[in-house]
Amino acid sequence: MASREHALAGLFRWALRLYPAAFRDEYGRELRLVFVDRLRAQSGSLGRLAVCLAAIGGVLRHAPEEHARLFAEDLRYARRLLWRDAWVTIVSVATIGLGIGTTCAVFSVSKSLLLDALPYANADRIVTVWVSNPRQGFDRDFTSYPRLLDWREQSRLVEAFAAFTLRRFELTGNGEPESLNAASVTGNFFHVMGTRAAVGRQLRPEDEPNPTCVISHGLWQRRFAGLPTVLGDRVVLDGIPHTVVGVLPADFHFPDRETDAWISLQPGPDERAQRSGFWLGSVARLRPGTTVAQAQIEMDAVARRLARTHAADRDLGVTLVGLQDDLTAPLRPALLTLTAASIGVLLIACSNVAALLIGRGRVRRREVAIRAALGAGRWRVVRQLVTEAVVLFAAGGIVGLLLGWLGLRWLVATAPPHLAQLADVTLDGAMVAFTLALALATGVVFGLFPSWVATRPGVAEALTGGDKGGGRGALSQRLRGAIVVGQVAITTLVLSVSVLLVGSVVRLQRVDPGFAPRGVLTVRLTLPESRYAQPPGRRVRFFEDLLVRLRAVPGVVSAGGGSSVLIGPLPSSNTLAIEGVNEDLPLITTDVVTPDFLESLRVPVIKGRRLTAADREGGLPVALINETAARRYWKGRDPVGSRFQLGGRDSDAPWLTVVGVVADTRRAGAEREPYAESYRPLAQVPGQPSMTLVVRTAGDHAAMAGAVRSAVAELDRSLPLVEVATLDALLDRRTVARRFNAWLLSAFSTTAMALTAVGLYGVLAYLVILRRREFAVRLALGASPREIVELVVFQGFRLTAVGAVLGTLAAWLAARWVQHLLPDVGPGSPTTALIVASLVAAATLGASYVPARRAIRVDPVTALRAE
Amino acid sequence: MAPRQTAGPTPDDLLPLSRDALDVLVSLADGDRHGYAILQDIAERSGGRVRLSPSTLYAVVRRLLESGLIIESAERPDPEHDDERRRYYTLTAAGRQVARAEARRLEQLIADARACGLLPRRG
Repeated sequence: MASREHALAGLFRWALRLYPAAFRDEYGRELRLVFVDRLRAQSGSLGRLAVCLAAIGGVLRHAPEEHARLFAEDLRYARRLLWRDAWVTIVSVATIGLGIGTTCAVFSVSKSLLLDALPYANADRIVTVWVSNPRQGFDRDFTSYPRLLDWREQSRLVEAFAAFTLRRFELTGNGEPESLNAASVTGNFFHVMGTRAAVGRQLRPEDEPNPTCVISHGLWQRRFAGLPTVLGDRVVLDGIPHTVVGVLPADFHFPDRETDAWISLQPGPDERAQRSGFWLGSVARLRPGTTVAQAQIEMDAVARRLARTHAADRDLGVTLVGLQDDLTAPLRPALLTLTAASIGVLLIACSNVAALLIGRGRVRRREVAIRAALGAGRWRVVRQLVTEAVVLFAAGGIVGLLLGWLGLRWLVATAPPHLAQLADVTLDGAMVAFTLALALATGVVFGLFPSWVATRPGVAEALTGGDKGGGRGALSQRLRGAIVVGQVAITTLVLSVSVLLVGSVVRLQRVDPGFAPRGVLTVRLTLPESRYAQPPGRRVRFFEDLLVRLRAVPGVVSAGGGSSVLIGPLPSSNTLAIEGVNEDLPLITTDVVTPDFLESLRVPVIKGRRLTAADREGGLPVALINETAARRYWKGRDPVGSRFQLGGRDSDAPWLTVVGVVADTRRAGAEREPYAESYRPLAQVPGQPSMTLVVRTAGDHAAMAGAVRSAVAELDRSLPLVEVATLDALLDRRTVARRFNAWLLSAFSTTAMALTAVGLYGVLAYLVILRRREFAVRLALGASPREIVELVVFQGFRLTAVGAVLGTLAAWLAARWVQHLLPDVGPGSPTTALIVASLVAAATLGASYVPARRAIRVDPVTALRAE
Repeated sequence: MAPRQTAGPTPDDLLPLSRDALDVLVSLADGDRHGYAILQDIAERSGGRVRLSPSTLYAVVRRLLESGLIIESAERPDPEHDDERRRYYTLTAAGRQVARAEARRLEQLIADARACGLLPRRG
């Protein structure tokens, strides 16, 4: 009986721990006494159990109230104190705000681009499907129509395969003619994408034979004033009226953001038959419950089966990639690097404030000691100090939120148009909650430590004024020193990575693209099917006439046209058969060009001859190849004069005679190996609908652009206005994302460095206060001011050196990770280390100098009297 | 027995009292009591209907102490009833005033209820 009572009392005592210590100390004993009285008043064990449950229930109800009351009390106290040290508070809040704001902005971008679900139904079941050729080292190529049908037939785990190809159309009627980006898609495309029309309906498989289309929300607003009457309207695309059956939601951006219309794919007889072309993009929807890995295993088997039955599929595999992974893959490395850097900045900012709090803890030791002497337990004081820190960090969090929001807006405004996804990034509720939670969490973590240091036992010593610069002062100073070492290490790390990145951008821009872009204007022209398909050769004549006119413009040095400008995505590629070689060879790209094209770009002919006006339809079908193709496929034999066939031996394409070998260009990007390429004369490929004209000029670009536009208008007034861009600008666009990334990282490392300098300054300034008596004595005994300055600067230097060594080690490790993420970033080099070291050293000297100057201004008499 | 030096709230500022607070004040009106005695007194007067948990009691006690309506008693009761370990509480003058004001407020409420026929009028 007594033992049972004892057990229940123990239970109640344990429950009392839920109260704040202060309340427990005051009323805990009383509560226990009353509880035991109550128990004793009960005779049955049921009654005793009821008493026990009611008592514990009471504790559960009232303990939170007591905590809230104490918190409110601490808050009031904290507010008074923070107000008293207004400057320290402002600097701290600004520092925290900077750290939190940076993190908030970068995390928002990362979250919305990498983590947020795509706006498609069951988007996790959508995959992109690519043809791969491990032997040739490419893993993301398009497919052909027959292969798509085979996939559909042979896969069980994939619910549906859809395909698309991008096209440019001329949109006429209903206002000015406009050049429109469109996608031709299979009828099940929107089923696979899990997207309903916002207005009207989607394309359906039954639509395939009819000219129907759905349009983007943007085009609907722009061209049809957002009126629902657009349904059933006909839009004229390349002269063919298409019935609009639906408008897509505003957030649908696939295959890319520029696509404004989706029409039914109607493959021609050749396209239906040919396996070896690579022109159809493919997306698929997995069956419910199927993982990408399972589907991949099945598709591997399908690919092996196809490889046995079709020569064109011999080396080919299939790669499935989750749609989100596929879309975010190009951004992920940059975002991960930036995220890591922003965490670095946050850590530096928070530790700066922690160092400041440790310093203030020193100053407040007397106050803390008095409170402790008046009976406040250590936890009560720690709690008070942590509350103070949390208030500081919460204010910093709010400032950070504001800065993060401004930062995001700035990021969106300054982002190159190429990074259009950034426009979708917003500061959503989840991010606001995360940011505030982050601020509170950092407040607790970075507040706890200084509070713990401030309340270490030693009350008597503090009360008797034992603040003579030794002992505990030295300890907290050592802690602050350790913080500076950590900060310098992080700064060195972030700085090293950004120097690496900047280095890679500089290197990329220096690489020779294989042609001379300076002074070249480019114009992309697409001739609409309706007016130019017939008679055959009409397009060729148009381009030739236009080029003649352009060459006549004063200031034009030369002009030519090509199906692409030798930069940007892989052009159409094919397997090939070489006369006398008994197997089909994988992949060569084909560009259709006019005779002056390669000359205008200054791509030299290495061997044989260039294309001329004499290479016409009806004559000998000819082609040029590049050095890589010659080396890879002709393997040392002289290609000039030999013949090859695009599409392999089974195709009925004409045999092309190689008349020359030209130098390689680096169209895939300066950091990639050149492709094997071939060039055919436009006159022998009369169906080519669009060309990019390159105009080498000697004069003013802006004036030339006008001349180019009027030359086009003279020939065909109804062609849509076109963008005239310099080739330099197009090249620039390719590295813009990387430059932006390098720029952002540099901004982060500058911030990190500035914050670290402030931190170091704080530590040294405090060191000077702690040792003012010593300095005064030294000066009085005849030390030169220079020696004192050196002493202080040396302290700063010592901390920095340790931090820099640690940071360099970390950077060396991180460089591998960064290289893994961004393969074109070079390894760290002594130059990198040297640049970083000198930047850090400069910041250190700057931060040490001011406190050092202050040290020698110490007046010995005043300093000694103060003790 | 002066109340704590606060900004000088008048008794009316503290009204209405919570039921628990009024119970405790009433229980202390006829003499000092310790915690358990207060609980017993409240239970007896209510015929066993009101049973405060110890936590509720001390939450109320803490609030009443803070607002100066009760204090810890300095005098100990008769030696034979005294329990050394326990704290006894005393109603302050302010506490008495507040309790009285609250009782009057309730009285008025009941009178109003009678006047409008909610309760039977007294003979």
